Amino acid sequence: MNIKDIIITFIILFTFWVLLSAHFDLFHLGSGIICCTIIAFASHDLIFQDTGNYRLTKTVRFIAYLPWLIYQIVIANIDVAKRALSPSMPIDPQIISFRTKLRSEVARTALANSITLTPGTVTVDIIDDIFYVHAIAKEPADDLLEGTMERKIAHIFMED
Amino acid sequence: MFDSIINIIVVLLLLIGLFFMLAGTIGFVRFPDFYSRMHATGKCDTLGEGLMLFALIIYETGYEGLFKGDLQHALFVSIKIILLILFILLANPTSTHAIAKAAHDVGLQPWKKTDETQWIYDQDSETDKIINGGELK
Repeated sequence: MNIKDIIITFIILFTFWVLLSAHFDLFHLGSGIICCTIIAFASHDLIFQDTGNYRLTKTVRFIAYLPWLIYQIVIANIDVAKRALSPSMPIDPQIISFRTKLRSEVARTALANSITLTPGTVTVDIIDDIFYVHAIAKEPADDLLEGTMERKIAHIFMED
Repeated sequence: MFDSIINIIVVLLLLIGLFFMLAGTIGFVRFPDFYSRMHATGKCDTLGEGLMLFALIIYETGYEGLFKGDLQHALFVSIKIILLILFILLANPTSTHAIAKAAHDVGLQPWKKTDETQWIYDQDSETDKIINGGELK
């Protein structure tokens, strides 16, 4: 049982509680403290499953990664809207596969979700080290295989 | 004056969000197969819903908060909407991936433009072995 994990879990849960309840009287805060303490003791190991090194750096780097991701989401939407609305419908779908260098589950999940959110690619499956990605045309696949995103994710989770 | 500027921004954001939702739906109808339909629904929903919720945040903080003066209430509602946006940002690609994986697991073949594949990336960059010739196992 790790006291530090429990405290961090409690802080996260209680912040969430206060934000959602938005009442600051004794009853709401008190029942919040009781519930959050019980849940923090029971399930603190659900939030933190990695080894716990450099958590703060990872979080900061992940937050710094978000603006780039949002920019990619906007591009992805314009791209899909263009393909859906243009009369000739320029799609040429294909399932591609590539081997990833990422090791941890969290990093792979982040990469898979980022691939799905960015232009023209959807993660279909991950078997061992190999990502299967459905690309809607050739250019998105080329962009993905350049590996910019994988390098960014590796940088966040300190695997580079 | 101030409230009409807020309203114009909110309506514009809602319309842009609506446009992306519409484009996603049109793509859903027009695209030829399951996997390419996932592109339309999985992506356009994220930005469409995100923009609409962002419009609600601006309405809450700008109109209800700054114009009408109930800042504390507006702040909490805005934070809840931001949490919703983060949830959508996380849940949308995950569910898209789950549905696509389910289709892949039952062996659904992706639609191709022609019978011969024009481009295949089937080389493993480390071992130079062919992993998957563009076909499912």
